[in-house]
Amino acid sequence: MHAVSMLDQALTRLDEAARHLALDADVLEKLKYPRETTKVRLMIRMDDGSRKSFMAWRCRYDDTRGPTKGGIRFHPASTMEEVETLAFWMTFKCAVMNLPYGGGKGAVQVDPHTLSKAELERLSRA
Amino acid sequence: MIMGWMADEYASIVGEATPAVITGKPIALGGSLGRDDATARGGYYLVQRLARQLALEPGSRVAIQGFGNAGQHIARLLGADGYRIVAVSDSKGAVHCPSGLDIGKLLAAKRQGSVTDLAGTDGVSALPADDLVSVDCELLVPAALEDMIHEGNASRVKARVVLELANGPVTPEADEILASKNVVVLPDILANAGGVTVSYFEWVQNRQGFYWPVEDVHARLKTMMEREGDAIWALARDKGITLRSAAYVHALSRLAGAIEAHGTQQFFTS
Repeated sequence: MHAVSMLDQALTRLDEAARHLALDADVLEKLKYPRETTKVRLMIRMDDGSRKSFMAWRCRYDDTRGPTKGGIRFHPASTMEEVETLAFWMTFKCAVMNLPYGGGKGAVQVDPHTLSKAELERLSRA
Repeated sequence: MIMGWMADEYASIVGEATPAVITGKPIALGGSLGRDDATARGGYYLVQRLARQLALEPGSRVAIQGFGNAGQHIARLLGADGYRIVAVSDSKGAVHCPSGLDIGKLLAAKRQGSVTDLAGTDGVSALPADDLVSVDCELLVPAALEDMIHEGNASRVKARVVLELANGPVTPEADEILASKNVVVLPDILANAGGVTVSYFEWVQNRQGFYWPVEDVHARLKTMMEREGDAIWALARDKGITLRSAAYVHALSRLAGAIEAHGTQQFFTS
């Protein structure tokens, strides 16, 4: 794990940038925190008939410039904080390129290689 | 595959085909041409655009850390322009060849396992993966994971330019070390934004129901990378800050403009 949290580390870039702009304090207050992070357990039927559940998160970091765009990771070491950090990056990446989007990101805590193709499809649709 | 299933699941919930709900879809379900190499291609257009300022040219030496989608495509694109790919790493290790690796052989070795299988052939030597960042070269391309260039190895970087195709490959501490060595970092939120940009093109095409030839995708991506790259380069020069800070300043001023323009409607409705 990081000595400094991943999101705090990413936020140092925001603080640094803010020093070069005359910004309203409201703007930083809005961008310092993710707007919304949903946490769910996705439950699927495995090929052997058993049920299994997986942690999943979706973070909508900021939607001021448009719908919150961002991909979905399937990774066994995913955490909520990682999702929020990646959503922060997406917010800035979309703004850098002037795309009409805010920033978001999702993750399912799973090693996709341990699932069969049918199980992966069920999890993707869950 | 996964994005196709998700698009299909959404379509069955709402009862109609709605391709614009998700991007990165297979071409057969409304995906965009040119999405496969978009991340590397965006970084490649940026390097092309800024080559003169960065003193890079065909023949310059390149080391690539990570040989997945972005690493393979940047090797192919820069290699075709005459850049010499002198070192490449993947999860198994790294290979080094000062006169330049054969891109076709690298891609074939990766397809069958690992780039390290090339070690021992035609002047190619094996290299510990950790030493890739200190290979003698002009351009270093981290295209693997986060935090690969850190306090402990940043001082060993010999490249003059770092193209961040990965997300967050350089830690804030390493950023300071690189800046003190006058190493120019082309920051992730600009350098690897080609992927999200072509995803945006996919959404635009879905909403229009009008699909572009791959040449149009490339031309539009090039225009956007050059436009934002030029703006950030100028901002960094005018303010005397790094390109990373300039990229964040550039983005933050757009976000701030939008936040201020929105006002605070919720104060008046609650």
